[in-house]
Amino acid sequence: MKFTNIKQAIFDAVEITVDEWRHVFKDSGVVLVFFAACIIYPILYGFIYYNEFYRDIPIAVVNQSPSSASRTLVRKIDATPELKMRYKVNSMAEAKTLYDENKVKGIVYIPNSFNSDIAAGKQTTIFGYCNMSGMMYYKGFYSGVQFACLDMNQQIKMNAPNINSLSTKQIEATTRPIIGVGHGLYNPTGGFPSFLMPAVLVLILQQTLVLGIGMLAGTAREENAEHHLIPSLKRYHRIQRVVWGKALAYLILYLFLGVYDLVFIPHIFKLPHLVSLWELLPFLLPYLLASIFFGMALSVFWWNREMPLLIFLCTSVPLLFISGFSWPTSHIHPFWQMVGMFFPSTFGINGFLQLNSQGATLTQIGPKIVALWIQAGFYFVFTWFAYNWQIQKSLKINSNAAPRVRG
Amino acid sequence: MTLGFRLVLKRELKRMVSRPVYALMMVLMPLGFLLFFTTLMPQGLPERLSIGVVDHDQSSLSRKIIRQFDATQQTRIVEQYPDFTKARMDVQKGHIHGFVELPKDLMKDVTNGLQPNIHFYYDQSYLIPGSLTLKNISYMLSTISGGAELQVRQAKGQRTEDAMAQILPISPEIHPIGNPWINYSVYLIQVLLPGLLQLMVLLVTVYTIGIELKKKRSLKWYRSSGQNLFKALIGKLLPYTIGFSIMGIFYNMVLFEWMHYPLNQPIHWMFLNTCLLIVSAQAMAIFLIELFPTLPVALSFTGLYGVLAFSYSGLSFPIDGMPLAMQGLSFLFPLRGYYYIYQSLALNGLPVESILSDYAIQLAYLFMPLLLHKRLKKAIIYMNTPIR
Repeated sequence: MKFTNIKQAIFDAVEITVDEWRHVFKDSGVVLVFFAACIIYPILYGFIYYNEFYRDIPIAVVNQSPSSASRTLVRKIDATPELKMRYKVNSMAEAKTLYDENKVKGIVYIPNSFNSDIAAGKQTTIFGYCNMSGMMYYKGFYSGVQFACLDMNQQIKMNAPNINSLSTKQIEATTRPIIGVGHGLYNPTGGFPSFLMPAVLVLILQQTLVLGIGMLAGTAREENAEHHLIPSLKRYHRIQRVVWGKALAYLILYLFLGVYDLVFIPHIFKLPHLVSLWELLPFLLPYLLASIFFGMALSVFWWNREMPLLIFLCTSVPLLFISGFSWPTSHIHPFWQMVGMFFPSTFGINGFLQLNSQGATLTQIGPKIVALWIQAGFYFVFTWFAYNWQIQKSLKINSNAAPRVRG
Repeated sequence: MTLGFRLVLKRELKRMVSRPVYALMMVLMPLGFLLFFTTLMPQGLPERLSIGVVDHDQSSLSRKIIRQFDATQQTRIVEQYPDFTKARMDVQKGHIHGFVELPKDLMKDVTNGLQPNIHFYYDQSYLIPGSLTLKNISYMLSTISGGAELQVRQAKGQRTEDAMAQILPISPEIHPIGNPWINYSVYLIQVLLPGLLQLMVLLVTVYTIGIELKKKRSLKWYRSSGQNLFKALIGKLLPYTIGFSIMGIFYNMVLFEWMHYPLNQPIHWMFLNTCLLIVSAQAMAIFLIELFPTLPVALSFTGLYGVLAFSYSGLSFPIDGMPLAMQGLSFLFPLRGYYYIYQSLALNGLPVESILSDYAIQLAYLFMPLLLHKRLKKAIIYMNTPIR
């Protein structure tokens, strides 16, 4: 008996799954969201952020010290990969005009006293002014100028009159007793895309799932005569078969999309891809399930198919930030940290960054995987109750409206 | 009531108040986002970033260095690790953003003038904490190095200024133009909030036109305008223009007046900037639904377009740093013009005359709907576009 029941359950689930696929592919709006977004968007983003770094930031140099020392410094600044001297001008006013016309993004000013100060053994200051409209400008400008000055400083110290007749090594040692050597861990290029793209890819999976599932549910709601989520006239005996059948439909589709987005795309755009397929799956599975059930749970709130697009799509950008990928979670307001825990993307983004960019093992991101399973379970239960409620409501209406034709 | 603009307007207003989704999109959600972004990052820059230290030397010098790291505002030593691997594992766990490894015989080598290297490691997979950690640790180490040198020279009787001149002959002073506190949230909010507003304007505009098509009421709407597409669109969209503009102006008031974000020109120029953004977004939305006169497809596509606008604003990555082919697309996004005007006004404090042409460019978006208006007209009149 039980065996037949299980067989029946599997048949039902498969039927629901295939039926759901039919719904998905017939609906052009959903196809656009599911597939175009997941497939084409990452490629578009990949090309937008193709250049890891912003090199050769155009700057103007105001060199008021006619000396070989200042010219050396200017050469060093120009030689850095970050900066490119586009204009050499005589006054700050000219430089400012160039800046206002957006011809340069920064200005370096070398005062008149530059050479005489160095010759007299006095400390001299040079000034840099940098465009703050993009973090990339500041970072590049700062590194470039710092590096050039550091290099120049070393040269000056080496060339200083050697009154104590020290050896080269000794001079070096007194001028720089300790050398700090920095090593960037993970994300070897340190570039912006390597950092942004993985997070965006993970988020796209969740958002498109929620949107697509929402649209399908909204359509079902609209088309159904009683405006109920599940036509109770269908013959399925158990709600969980419906829930699992639908979930399976989306899961299978998204396993392929997920691998495409999280393995293939990083590979072709040369983003960090430290995770192998086999390591990714145990993480991808709970993430997708959590997103699917989250989408199904939310879908009870949409009573037409446009609502998810209007309302949920706008949450994409806030969700990206709430995950703590750009601003460390520890510094996010505790209230929003809590809100973030309701969304699979929060754990998904961090987990994937650790797996993929940092090369963490599955055990190391264990807590996040557990959190995703908990979310999946929580939203599954929520969905079950919501569907149940819907069915009960429509059964009641059906029984009330059932025409009892007599005679 | 006579056919025409006023009838369309009245009809639209009635629709607006009868459906909660408009109040949600025009009032609740924008306010929600404002609250979210202004409270998300309580500090401008993350301070007291957690780092670790691996001390192989255990000398008075190494302990002094550790104390100095802990005493600064920027970093905070949360743990000492016995070796490199344990420290690295904690970086992977997200417990620390980086660590410093003090080598064996550090003190001995410094005293003997052997120039030991202190290696430090910072997590680059999270860009902001990573670069801050890099900056702070290298600054600390060079300060410590300079400090050690200064001490030696002072002990030999050299004056501080002379010593500093020999330690650091050239001192660069870098001034950011316009964002003096290098406040990350100022930098972000200025594009994220208008970007979200623009996204909502796009979606609501497409929705309000598309829903007429879907419910097969578009002919009625068209007729009530006196068979004039121009009047029909203006009458329909005007309440949203006004509503979103009020919200946009409110955003500006909160950010610039209340929270004192940097702004170097009278605020009404920002108001103008915001209103132009809203109107040009509406124009782009009309164009998009002309392209796909089916509500679900138009909405999906508009959503994708609206989110792409964030990347094309030039906020996170400068547009001229993108590959040429991708740069061309940036002209499709009014958010880009908005951000450029904002930078010039607020951060760089340019004279308004120089950016009047940029304002005019924003107006150019208003001509986009002209391209395919016949297509939309046909869809409205014949109402034969598929619902699916």
